[in-house]
Amino acid sequence: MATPSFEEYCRDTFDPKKIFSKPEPLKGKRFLSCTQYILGPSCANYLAELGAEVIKIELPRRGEPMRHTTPFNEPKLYPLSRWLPEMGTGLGFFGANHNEYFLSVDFHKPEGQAIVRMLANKSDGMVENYRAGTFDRWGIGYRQLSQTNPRIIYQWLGGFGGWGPGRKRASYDILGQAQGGCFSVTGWPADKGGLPSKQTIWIMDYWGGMMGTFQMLACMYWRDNISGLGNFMEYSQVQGAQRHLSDCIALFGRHGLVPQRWGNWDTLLSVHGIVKCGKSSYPNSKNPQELEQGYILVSAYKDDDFAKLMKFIKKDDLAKKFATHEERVKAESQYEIYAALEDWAKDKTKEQARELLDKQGINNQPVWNSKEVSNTEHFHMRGELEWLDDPTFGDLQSQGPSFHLSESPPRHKWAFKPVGADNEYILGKLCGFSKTKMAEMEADAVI
Amino acid sequence: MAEASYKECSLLLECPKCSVLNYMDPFSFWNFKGKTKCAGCDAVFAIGYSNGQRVEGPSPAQGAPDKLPGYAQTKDYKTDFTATGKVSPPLYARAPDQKHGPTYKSIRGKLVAAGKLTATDLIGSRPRFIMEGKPYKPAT
Amino acid sequence: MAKNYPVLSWPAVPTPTPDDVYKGESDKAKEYALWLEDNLRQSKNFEKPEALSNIRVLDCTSMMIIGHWCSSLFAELGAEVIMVEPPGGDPLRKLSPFGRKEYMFKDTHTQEEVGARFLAEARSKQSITLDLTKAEGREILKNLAAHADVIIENAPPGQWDEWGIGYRQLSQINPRLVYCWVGQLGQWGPLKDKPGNLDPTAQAACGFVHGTGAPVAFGGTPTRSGWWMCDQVGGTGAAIGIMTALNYREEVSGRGQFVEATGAAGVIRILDYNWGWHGVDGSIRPRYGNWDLAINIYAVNPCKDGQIMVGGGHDRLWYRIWRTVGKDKPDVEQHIVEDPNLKEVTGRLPHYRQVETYTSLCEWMKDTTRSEAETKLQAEEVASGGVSFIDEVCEFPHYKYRGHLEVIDDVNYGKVLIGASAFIGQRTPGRVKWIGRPVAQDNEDVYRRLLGFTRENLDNLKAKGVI
Repeated sequence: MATPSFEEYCRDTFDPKKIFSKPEPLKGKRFLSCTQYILGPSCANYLAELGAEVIKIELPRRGEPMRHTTPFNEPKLYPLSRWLPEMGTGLGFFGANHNEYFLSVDFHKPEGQAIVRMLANKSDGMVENYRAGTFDRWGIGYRQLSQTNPRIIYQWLGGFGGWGPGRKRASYDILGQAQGGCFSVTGWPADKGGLPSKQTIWIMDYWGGMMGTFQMLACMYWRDNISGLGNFMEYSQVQGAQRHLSDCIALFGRHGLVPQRWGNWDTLLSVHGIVKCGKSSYPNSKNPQELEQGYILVSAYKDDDFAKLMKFIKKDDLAKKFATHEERVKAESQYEIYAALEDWAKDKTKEQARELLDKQGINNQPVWNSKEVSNTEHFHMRGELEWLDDPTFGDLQSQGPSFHLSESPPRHKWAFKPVGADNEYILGKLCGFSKTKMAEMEADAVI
Repeated sequence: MAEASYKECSLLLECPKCSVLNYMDPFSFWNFKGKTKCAGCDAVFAIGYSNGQRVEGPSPAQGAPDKLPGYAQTKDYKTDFTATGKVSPPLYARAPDQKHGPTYKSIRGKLVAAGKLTATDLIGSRPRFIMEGKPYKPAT
Repeated sequence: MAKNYPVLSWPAVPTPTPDDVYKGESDKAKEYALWLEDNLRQSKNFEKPEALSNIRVLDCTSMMIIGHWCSSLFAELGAEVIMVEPPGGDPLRKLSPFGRKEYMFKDTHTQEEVGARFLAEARSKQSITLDLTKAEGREILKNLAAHADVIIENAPPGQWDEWGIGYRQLSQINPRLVYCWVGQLGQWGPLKDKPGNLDPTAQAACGFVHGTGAPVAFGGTPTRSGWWMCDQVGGTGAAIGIMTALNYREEVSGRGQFVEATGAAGVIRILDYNWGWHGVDGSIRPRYGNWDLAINIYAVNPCKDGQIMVGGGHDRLWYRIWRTVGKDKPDVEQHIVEDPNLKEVTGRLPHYRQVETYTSLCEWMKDTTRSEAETKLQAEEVASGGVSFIDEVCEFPHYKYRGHLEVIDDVNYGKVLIGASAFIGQRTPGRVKWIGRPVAQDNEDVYRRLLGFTRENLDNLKAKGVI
């Protein structure tokens, strides 16, 4: 029998359609997600993708604030909860709450805290991002929970952490970006009148959550294979910012260098930048956004690729002038080279540019908007974008998990659920509460 | 309470001709030297900003404006000016005539619960029409 | 003779002491924070065990950060990480901003130069060289794989499989091996990576670039991230995948598996509502500069000496922000609070309302420095913070106190200021042992102890260019 090609082998091994026939790596594990916004929720959510039972605990009726956040105030999924069907959950909530079970508990109340304690004693871990010390005060912090559950892995996440001069400061993603130093490297150069820019996405939040998840998984490894002990961790968004700007910090520390913003080009490689194409790809579109001209990444940083590119755009003189990487990576050189590239691209759409560059074997990537990405078969084939048949809300396009495993892959089962959708299931299964008791607690707004 | 005064303001620009309040948004005008146009009366002005401070004008000028204000309203908030050519265009996620409304079908034409519901539409926490796979019909 | 580098004069301003930080607080008020300090302070890190100390990782990636970032996370939590580089070293070592050699870091003994981008992710790792383009090199890799828990590679799609050292082959030799491929768009599929694809390829393809920067209406353009952001997010995803596979191996299967992670998938995962929004009504997410499509007030805007972030979507915070403004500019506060269009929280979100809001806010901020604004807003319990640059970040009292930055006095590279491990924890915190190694410094150690090479083997292989 012929060996499948590597492409065939991968398509089969990572086939999204086969995922549900494969085991879940965190089967049998349980985590509580007492979280709001994105930083905490996403950390717990990456565990839910891996098959853990993640119980999201929110305040009764209206749930957590991120449900009330949506772009333009427009897209929402209904009902918000069975008590408030005329309200919806905003799409800000989308992406950090997949696969989870939704319990509503007012943990300001002692009865609510008792429920959390009962659940935590049966859980592998807790993820929370309330102000540092709040859960400790309520008797459901690490100090208390580890008494009755020494195996608990407790991950706290927040902006500035619970100790140090800034310990009382609020935790917001773009505050983390701003104060952490991220803005300083993105945007247009100061001498071109450019200002620092934030990243589109709540990256300190979502990526911060990933860092928290990794640490939790490592602590599980240590607990289950070596020590038998739980752990307490603290993740600070601003520290995340400094961690990933470590190269800038090293340059500052040794050479006093403060990094430059360099727009759409690259400070380390040339040619490796995004240039403007003069024509719009959809000049007749009714959506004004699509009238904008296109952009394309052109990447030719090796000597032979660069020479080929320059000759192709009929700039032999630049091929000679900047024959070495050392010459073409200089700031002044980049201005000259990219001006020539934009001149070449000024009468083309990004698709035309791509076709021409592809024929020359020059690496490139058009800048795609969210519609173009949604329509890219590559991502759907790989399950990185998917259409969910969500049991509550129906047909939803969603992001897929961020990595693939051949034997025990992550997967998305549902987008999220209304507030308190699983109250009866969770409280019945894990707390042994009767129907009557739950009705009383609901009347008292405990759940 | 006396009406707020904009005499001391830079970016909140009260038109000297028609008193409409133009919002010189920080994206466009933080550092700017050139011509703009009042969204209320179309009067063209030369104006200069440096670090958000108005350092020149507004003084009458001729010709096409270089940039339009980000938004404008009358000082009593009753009328605003957002038509094309008056102020910078807004953000568009869709075509302007595709108004947002309740949606019960995705762009693929399948059922989705993206519009308001009532208690009778639910079974437990779930919309009945999704569970039953039937197009949504609001209760009369 | 080892060269002495100038001693860093950092911090320029001394780090506060605990007495400074908790001054005036009652014992009860500071008790929890002090308990945290007692359990989390990095000064005690090296007294504590490491979560992953029995894991060995071979990082065979080059020219991208995605793999090095991933292996850094393992190194910080105690794994033994060996970078397997082509002879001459990972080409990434040679990159420096604008090619400036003076910004490189020199090994104190050999004077070998390395750029900051590579060095930042060389922490606690060893360096060996191996030429995989040669058959003999690939045989050595197979032998190394028998000793590894994790292998990470980013060769062009299918290259290792063609060479007989792909997952299909190595898993026969070592069924417990967790094998991870990392890249920009993928090792399979219609858009799989072409050789040489690097970040920001993934950024452009996943929608990130289109969505970053000032809106069209304000003359903005799509903007890439200034760092290799997709590599960092994708690399973190890879680490989660690998760690999952290790846990699954120990708990259930006794076997490794094939992991794949890309920069594009990593960021698509976190582009919050792009996909759901498009699926519901065909919307294309617009760029909004430093403002936010879903929350007002939640933005960065210019002020007298830079830019400042102010946040507060709730009603209570809205009025507090304007009250702060009103202390200096009562007319501006009055203007905003009297606008009936802004009474409802939902009414503040449309674009023109945001223009009104932020133009009015900037009316105040143009006369206020970051520091003044922060102080005044914090008095009203409003979150704010100035956009800070690296030099300021390095002197922030909070970061110095908490050890976000540390100076490693490194055997090879002298004193280097770095972003410390972000894995703060009670029992098994992350830590950085050394900054990095010059190329092939550990050939002798690694090849001898793992593969039993003799002096003759090593000399022979070196002469043939295999190592």
